[in-house]
Amino acid sequence: MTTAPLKYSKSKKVGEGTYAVVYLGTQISSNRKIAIKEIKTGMFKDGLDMSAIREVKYLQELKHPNVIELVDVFSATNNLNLVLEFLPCDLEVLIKDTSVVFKSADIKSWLLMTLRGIHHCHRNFILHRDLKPNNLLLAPDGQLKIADFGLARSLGNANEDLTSNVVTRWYRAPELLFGAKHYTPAVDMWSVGIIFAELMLRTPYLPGKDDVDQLDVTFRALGTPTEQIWPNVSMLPQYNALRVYPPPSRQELRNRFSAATEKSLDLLISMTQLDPSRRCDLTQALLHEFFLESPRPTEPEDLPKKKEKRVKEEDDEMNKRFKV
Amino acid sequence: MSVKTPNTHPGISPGVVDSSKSNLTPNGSNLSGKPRPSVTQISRPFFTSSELSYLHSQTIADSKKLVFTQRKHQIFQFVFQIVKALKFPLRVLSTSMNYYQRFYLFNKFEDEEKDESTSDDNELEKDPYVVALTCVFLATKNEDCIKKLRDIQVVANKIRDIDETSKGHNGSGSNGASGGSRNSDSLAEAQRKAIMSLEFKLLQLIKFDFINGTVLTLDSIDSLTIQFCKKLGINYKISMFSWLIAFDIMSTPLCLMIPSHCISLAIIIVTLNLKPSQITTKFTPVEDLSEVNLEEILEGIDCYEQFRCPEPLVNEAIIYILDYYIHQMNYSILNEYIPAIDEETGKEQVFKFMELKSRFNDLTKMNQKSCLKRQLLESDEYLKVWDYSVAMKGSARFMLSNKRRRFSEEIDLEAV
Ligand SMILES: Nc1ncnc2c1ncn2[C@@H]1O[C@H](COP(=O)(O)OP(=O)(O)O)[C@@H](O)[C@H]1O
Repeated sequence: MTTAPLKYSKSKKVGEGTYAVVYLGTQISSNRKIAIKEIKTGMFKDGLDMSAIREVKYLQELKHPNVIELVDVFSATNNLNLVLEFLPCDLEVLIKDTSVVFKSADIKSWLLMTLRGIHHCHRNFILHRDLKPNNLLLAPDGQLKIADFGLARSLGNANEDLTSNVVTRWYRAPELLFGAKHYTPAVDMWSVGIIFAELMLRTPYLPGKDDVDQLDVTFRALGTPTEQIWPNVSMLPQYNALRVYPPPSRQELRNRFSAATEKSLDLLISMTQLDPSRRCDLTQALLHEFFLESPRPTEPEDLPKKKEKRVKEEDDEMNKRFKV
Repeated sequence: MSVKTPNTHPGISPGVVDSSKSNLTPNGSNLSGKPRPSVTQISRPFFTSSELSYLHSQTIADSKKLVFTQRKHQIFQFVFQIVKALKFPLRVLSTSMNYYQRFYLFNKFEDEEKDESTSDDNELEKDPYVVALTCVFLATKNEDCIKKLRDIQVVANKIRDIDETSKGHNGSGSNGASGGSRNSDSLAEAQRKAIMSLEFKLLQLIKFDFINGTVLTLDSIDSLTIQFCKKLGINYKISMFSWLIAFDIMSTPLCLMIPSHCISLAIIIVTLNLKPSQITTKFTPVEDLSEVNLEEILEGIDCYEQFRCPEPLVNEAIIYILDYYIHQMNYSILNEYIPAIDEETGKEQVFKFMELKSRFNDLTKMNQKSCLKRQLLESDEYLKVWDYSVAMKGSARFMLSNKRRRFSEEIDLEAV
């Protein structure tokens, strides 16, 4: 009667973030692979990092096949440890791996899983605020999981000013680029739209070099917003001295996304509306006809995976451990 | 392994698993090592009143009860000044007060006269004002109103007229320097170190539960009360009355017993029953032309259907609120906004609360029979003064109570 319900073994370090070191581990009772995120406490002037607090706060609340699972929270030797499901790959890695071919059914499957995960967040009044391929992790069974809730926030206190300094630049919605202090779940929708484009192009869609360039790159691709298409846009703090680009014609978009069907272009256009109030929401996106036309989205287990040597290294590592 | 669930409602009141004898190695680096202390705690955001008095009996000596209460009022004033100065929303105040009261459920209240000769590094950590600062700091993080600790310290120390630059402070938190100490930190730096250490302790006490028994979107009592008033079509004056009650109640231990939405609804029910006619406010209210029928609104309230509030919890809160005013009317904020003598009855206001309480005598409240016995309370590991060394030398695992089902599965697994 002395066994404990909690047993994890920790093997090697798999990564290091700004406020945490991540280790590969195993939940011994189930032999399930897990990731242990050890939060560096006491290193910073301001105590436990906000990102860590957010990650615990929001992930404890969410459970969905397309959201990373927070398995456990414990503190040991005065460190905070988050036990997460182990997700060895992410979408960015696949996008960059030119040896992997994406079929349109694959893209549809990843997009669908992304939308389902975000839909679950929004349904629970949580904004993610940092969606990018690098934060869409892939499980060994092909499931895509939304991860990194370090910038997330609850929509509960709707009247308060929010910071527009969120979302990695290339995926930042125009209202954020203009410094809006009030924004909506539409900021996440924009990011998903840009990721969708990136999946089709296999290269970042709007890679601004800095914040000023980001405005230029964004509007060169999608047209400069005017009062006609986006009422009151000129009142936003950073709306000034813009170069005026015309909105792209349908044909220009067809040329850019040569493999896209008309319905996929419809969805992309709807997700990347400059005016956030015209952008589609998660429900609309999930119900879009694009998901009804053939081909059907690839089953997660049949999706392309990274053929990597990392898996082999891991196996070696595990073998070594268990021989001892 | 022993699972202790002192309550007859295991689903409501999670217990503690004590696996202190086990060889638990959550960070796995010690697979064959010697036993290390370990404990699993399932967050309990709420306690019964008997649990609260039991906890206080361990942390606040009888001789200090009065000091504790007085100090609490001073400190909440202090926290309110900080919140105002830094323009934080009131939910930061509310969360800070919750944390402060929670802290002294599990930590001894020490408010000694400072003795220069026994200055040690932990002295500051015992200062209730430093504890309060830590509570504010963590509350700002949890409520997404981030501010640098330094900025909060500057404001707080200014409010208390404390010289931050004084060197060699022994951590008394009192005015002025005490030169000649071995500690060469400025007070500001000593304070910061104490707050950092207290923050990690506080995180353990709240069991890393940032949701606190409600749901993410639930606001603090003051804001929920106003939202509920709007939903019920209650006019400005009556809403204001409710809001004042909310402001009073926010600082009581009721927030450790009942979820905020149930408290808010209780406040509104009390208000509607009192039918307040006179209330003075700074702002001249928009005249309410519509003669609202309070009776009708009251009749129409369905605790669970409309507000997801279990009725026994609301009733519990109603009685608490009435008792609060019966005993503390003169110290309340509400008292400052209503005439001393009620116009209709010609009596002091407190009689209205007493009369109302007598009408509420037979409300269904929570059944606490199962947790009244001292023996039972004593055997509840969760109610022990928290041993911080567990997380230092071994491991402490934290869980939300709504994740408890998964935990039961693990126990089943172990039993096999
Ligand atoms: N659940 C996980 N499974 C596998 N690897 C992970 C997991 N979480 C994080 N990692 C790895 O650890 C690294 C650092 O993670 P994190 O602290 O979240 O980084 P960041 O600060 O970049 O968000 C990641 O780049 C990734 O390689």
